[in-house]
Amino acid sequence: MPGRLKVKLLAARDLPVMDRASDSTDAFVEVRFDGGMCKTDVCKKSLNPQWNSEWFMFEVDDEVLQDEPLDIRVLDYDTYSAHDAIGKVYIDLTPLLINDLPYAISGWFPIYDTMHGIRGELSVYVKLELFNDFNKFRQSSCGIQFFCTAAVPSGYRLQGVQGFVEELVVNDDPEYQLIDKIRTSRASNEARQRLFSKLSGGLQRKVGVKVMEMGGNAVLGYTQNFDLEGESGIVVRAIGTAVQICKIRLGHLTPMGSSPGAPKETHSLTNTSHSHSNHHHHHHHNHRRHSQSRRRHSHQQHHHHHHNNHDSTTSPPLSPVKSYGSSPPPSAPAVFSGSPSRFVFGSYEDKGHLNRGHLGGQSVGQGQGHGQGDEADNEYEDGDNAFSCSSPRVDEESGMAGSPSLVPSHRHSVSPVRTTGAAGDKSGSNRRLSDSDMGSPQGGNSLEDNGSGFNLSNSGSRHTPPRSNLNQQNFNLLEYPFFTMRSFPAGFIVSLGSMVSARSVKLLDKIHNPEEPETRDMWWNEIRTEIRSHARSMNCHAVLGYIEQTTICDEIIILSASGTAARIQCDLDQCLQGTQPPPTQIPTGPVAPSLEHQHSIDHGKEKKLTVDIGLANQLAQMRMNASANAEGSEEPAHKCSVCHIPYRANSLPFPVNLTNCAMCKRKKVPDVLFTTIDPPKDVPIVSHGALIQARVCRPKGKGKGSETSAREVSDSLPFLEYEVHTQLLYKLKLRGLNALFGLKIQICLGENMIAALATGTAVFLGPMPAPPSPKLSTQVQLATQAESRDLAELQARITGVVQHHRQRLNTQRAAVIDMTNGDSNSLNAASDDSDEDQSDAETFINNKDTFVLEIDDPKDEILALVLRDSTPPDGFEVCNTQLPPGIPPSRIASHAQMFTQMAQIRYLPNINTKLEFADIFDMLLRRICFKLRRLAPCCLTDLNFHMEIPDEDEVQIAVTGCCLTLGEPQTQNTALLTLPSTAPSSKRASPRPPGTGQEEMMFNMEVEADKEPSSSASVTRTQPPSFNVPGLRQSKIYERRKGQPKMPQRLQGVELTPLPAVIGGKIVKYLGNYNFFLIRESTSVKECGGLAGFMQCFIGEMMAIVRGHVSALGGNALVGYQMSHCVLFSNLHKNQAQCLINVCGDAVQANYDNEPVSADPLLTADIS
Amino acid sequence: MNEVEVFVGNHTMIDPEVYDLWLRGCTADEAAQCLQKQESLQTFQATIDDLLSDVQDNFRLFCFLENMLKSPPRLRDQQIYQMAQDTQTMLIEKYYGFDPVVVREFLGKKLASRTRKDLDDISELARVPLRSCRRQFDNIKRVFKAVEELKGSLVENIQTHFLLSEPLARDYAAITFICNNRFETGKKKLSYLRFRDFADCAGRMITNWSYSSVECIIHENNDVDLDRNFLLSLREVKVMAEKECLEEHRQLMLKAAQGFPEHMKGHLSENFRTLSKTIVNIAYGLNHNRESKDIFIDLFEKLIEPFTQCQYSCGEVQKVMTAYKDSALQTEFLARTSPHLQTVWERYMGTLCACVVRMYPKQ
Repeated sequence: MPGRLKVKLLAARDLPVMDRASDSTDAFVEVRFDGGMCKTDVCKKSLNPQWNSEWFMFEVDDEVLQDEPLDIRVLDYDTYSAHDAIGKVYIDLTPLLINDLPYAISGWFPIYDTMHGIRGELSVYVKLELFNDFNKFRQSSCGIQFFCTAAVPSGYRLQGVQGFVEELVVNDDPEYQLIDKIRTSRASNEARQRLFSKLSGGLQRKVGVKVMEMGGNAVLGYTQNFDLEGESGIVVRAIGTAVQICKIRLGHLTPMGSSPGAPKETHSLTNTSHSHSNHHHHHHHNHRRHSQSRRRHSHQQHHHHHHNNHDSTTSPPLSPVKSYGSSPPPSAPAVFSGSPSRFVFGSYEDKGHLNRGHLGGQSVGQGQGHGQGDEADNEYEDGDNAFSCSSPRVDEESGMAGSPSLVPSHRHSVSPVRTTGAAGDKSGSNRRLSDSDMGSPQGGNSLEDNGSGFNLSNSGSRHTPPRSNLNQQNFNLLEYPFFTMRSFPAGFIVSLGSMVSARSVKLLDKIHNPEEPETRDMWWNEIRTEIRSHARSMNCHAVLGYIEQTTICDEIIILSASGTAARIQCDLDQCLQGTQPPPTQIPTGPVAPSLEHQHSIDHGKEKKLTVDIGLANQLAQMRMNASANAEGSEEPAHKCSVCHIPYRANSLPFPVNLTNCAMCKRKKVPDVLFTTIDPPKDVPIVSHGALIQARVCRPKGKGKGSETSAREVSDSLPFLEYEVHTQLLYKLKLRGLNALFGLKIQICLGENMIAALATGTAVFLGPMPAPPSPKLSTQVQLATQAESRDLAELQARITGVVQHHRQRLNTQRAAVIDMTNGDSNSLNAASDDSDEDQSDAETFINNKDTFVLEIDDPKDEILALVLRDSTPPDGFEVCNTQLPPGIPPSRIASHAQMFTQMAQIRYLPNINTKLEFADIFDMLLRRICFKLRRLAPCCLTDLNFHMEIPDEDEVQIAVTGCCLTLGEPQTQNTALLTLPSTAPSSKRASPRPPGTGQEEMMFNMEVEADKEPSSSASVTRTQPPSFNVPGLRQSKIYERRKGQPKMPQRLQGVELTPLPAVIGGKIVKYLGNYNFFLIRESTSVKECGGLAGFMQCFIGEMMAIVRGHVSALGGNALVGYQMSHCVLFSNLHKNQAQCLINVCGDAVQANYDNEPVSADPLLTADIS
Repeated sequence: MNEVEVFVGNHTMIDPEVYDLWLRGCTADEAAQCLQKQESLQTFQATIDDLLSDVQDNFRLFCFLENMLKSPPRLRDQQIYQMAQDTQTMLIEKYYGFDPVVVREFLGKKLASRTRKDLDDISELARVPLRSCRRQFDNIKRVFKAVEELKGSLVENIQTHFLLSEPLARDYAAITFICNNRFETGKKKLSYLRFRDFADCAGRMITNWSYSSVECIIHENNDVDLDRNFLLSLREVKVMAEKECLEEHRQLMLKAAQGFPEHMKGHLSENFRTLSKTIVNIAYGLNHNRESKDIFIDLFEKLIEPFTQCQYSCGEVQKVMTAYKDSALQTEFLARTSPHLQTVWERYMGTLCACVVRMYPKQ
């Protein structure tokens, strides 16, 4: 689709003075695109020049439009010497290619200079006229919409899921090129920014092409990552989930919406199907034309490209793993992938067995996969386009049809992409393409392709999009059944397994042949394969909330991936209708036969005494829902099935305590659940959310050879992860919660340390058992009096902390409910005697309800850390999920602030004993709350921590998040006091949506840390007066606040938010996704307020640039905002600093309830 | 312990308390200590370091904003700091706010760098931190420079160029007016007068004597200056100090003063000549820069002092002055010979009366 790009430069304002003599500037503008360049006149002596230029035209291909940004430079005219650069504006043109939007961008863009920051603003008008030249085999992917939002965008409906898409490109880093030695910092920074922008555009286009071939029309949860590998170049990676979505129209209610609801994708698909070959694409054209016939042969042709597991059915079960684990490919110098740094993060037994995801299940999965493919293919040939066979049947059949007879490796579908790379990309910017073929070529996708091809030959155009691209058997065929979204439509998740993660340590080296560099792809393939096998070992066929991360230090890179294994409802029909999914049958195939307990760290030998937290104050297992009630007339508000284990109780993938579901009493649930996703909407949460972090930093030897060093890192990873896990588990249990959502673990490698940071939001899930309250008991002889005293103190502290947390997080309520049900698990009230009761320890360990903390002495580090963990101040809720769990949406008053906090902290592991690593994060959290104190009561959500260790003794942490103000909770005191007595018991017992009213206790009263080990339930009953104390304090805060002017409900301007939606408003239109990579450098750091001033200024400018671009698109908000890169390098002796920031998000136009629908600014703009 | 610790929000929110402290010229540490007393850190489990870090964030922000505050329209149009209109207004208004005590010292001075150097004296005298004095001085100088050459209404010019509220713009107009005309205010005798007094007088002069006054026909010039036509006409008023006119005026005046208390009547009949001559001389002197700049001193020495000596109350002075002004209008000269001077007289005397009354010591 070639087009004509028209650019008009109107004016600039607030330019800097470039000519000291005249105190003025002679500004003009150069516009470059795709090799062409146009200039405006010089506007003499003005800081607010008006050019009002004619239309500059560029005739372009849409492919280039996607790859290249519009490059606008503002310069100061100089008659005699070179013109001085004032600054630049890069405009990403991809939003112009999204259908059904006005093809124009217009607005004031901040003029940005990498050395000086923002220097005025430029008014630009950009229009695009596309010619209707539909070319099926083009390389561009316009029409595919990209969403950074990790959820189904609001106003859209998921129609089908094509699956995981990924792409990566490699390039030289201009910063490390020879030329960089002679050019200025500005030139170098600009070269980098331009390159990054190009790479990012190109990458997105390529992902788009893949998506098109898969039959999708959008990518959700799209993330790009830049790995700055230093000498060996830049790797830009993108992952996302290809889906088919359509806009929800009024009056259109049929969930599938065959034709009326989906004109959009029909259009885009039409684009694909019409062929109008131009010479660039001729090759592919041919290729595609024969695709039907080549389908069966393609497997062989492309076989050599596979480093994946296609042949796994024929080879022994472990072969896929073996293939990379034991024989590293020649291009990877040293592969430590065989290292034991692989985990299934699940609900471990407390004793700390680390287990390695066993690999047996994988081959089974493969076998199933192919079998299903076979079946699906047949089904297609029957003309059944619906693929709506129910899952039980699928499972059944797949179990039998594991024959390797037809290996549906439809390689053709990827090949155009590959050929693009081989044919030499016109832009020339990319040295190579990813030739990995995850996801795209197989299963549902190829079927999808098949469908479109078929239709093409018959009718030329299709009006009926495939109904459901994802169904069980297709889905199982996906090479990587990963979803990069964090939240999912109701009913989508059938059951959650556990967090799965995989890491590997690699050595970087120069990519010698960019055209055939399979290293990076292969690395990621290994990781993904491992993730998949972990998921399969849990009998899960999908991985949700999937992310990939890297950390690089010198030549060592750690690649990590994580996600949540889950079983999902593949038939979207069902999940959209919200009907109960058919009970997922657990396949009968061999599941998880072997469990490797790799790192069962044996404390026994050194153990001096055991602190047994638990039992004494054991609350009865929660009975949220008398099962009679659930099955009765009342509509079940929540489904407990999500919590049910997907694996079989008799073959656990890892040690886990199972109990019967507290709601349905039939299925098994684990005692602890770790996940990387947001809480599903229909899961019963009965507490508030609590941010939990595990922070670990270990010293690392330096000055060793890369290989030694890499091995060392690789060896220390398991210990690091173990510690992270232990911390998380302890903290979770101390808070009396049983599930962790949004868990993100970042490993960061520095010169002399390796750090890990895990952040998640803990909640109490109704169906799962309450963690027992801690109670001390000693197992070994107490050596001294002092030791026993310490122990007693520790006991008291633990109990105090537990009480404190429980009350804060509202888990009390659960306990109360539990008590009234007066059920089974007798309270182990003997709080006092268990101290002496040494023999009990044995029993405790075997008791499933026991929470055993094994420590070496009362001063155990981890325990101490855990106990010191700070809690947010009154009036604050902190979580890293998108919405605060346990708080009804109606209480959220407004989106008050999106913030970025960035800190650089001197920290030396071991040496700096005064500053604990964990203190850094406590401090940051405390300060965030403090800085937002005027907004309380509020909730900090979607907190995202990004850690970097750029220097030997420096830790940098960037935190982003948003602050939602909350309405006044319902009169808390009365609600609380009346709760136990007046609330009808049925109500209490039923699984209500958290906070449907008076039970809301947002500021759950801080009882003065209760020192005596009394059961928490009794606190509620026996100490009602204590509730008043914090109540008073609370009201004092409110009073003080009332003195301040009330914040307006909505702030003017452009909203940036990490959330997928606009609070208080409705997203009317998605205008396109933006990805900014900005570099800022300064050689006069002191003059601009020191490093802090430099950073503060840059972050502010970065946001301003983002806002400028959003409003030029006619948007008023950016959702799904993410900062994926933020690193500061400084040399204060030279007064220098450089900072790189990468942010992305989706520009949207939102309407707020209290505002009239604003006319489209682009339509009303009266220009020319 | 942190080299860098910054917090940036998408919406720039200003804490007015911290802003005030910054404007006062406190260092971040001082401000933090100040705030610590007002606010309970305990509620937020915060330490003084947390407070300091918050203050530093704010202070850095203010430093960035200061550049834009120097030309407020820039602040309004900028996109770097997204903030509500009210916040902008507050920022500007407070930034251009001043301590009357400090500005009182600048009045009538040449706004040169030498004066700026002497600010430490003023700072000490007024007990306002030097930083704040500098800001106030720079603001006044900036406003002065910006509107000095502009045509049209002084107040309006200031409002458009600095986006100030009307009352504040009026104050700046008064300051600019006094400074431009170099009216002497620093004499010891005048030291009892506050800034407000001068601002009020200057405001009246701007309204009635400058180019923006209603009577002025030509608005080409700036009302930083006095209306030249008006001044020229004032020269004709000199006749009022001539013997016959004076006597006629005196009679009329005494007639008007019938209802006045005895001591006033006596004083008036004795001193009418001096009074009248003084008033007319001041009018005449306005034509000459050398004399016009002493207008406040003249008013004080030649009118206010004699009145105070006779222990006139403020109200009595007003009565006398009004009677003087009104009776003059009935004289042959103003009523018949040169009726065109009536408006001139009104313009002159109305303002003069008000100024005298305003400046009259109130005990």
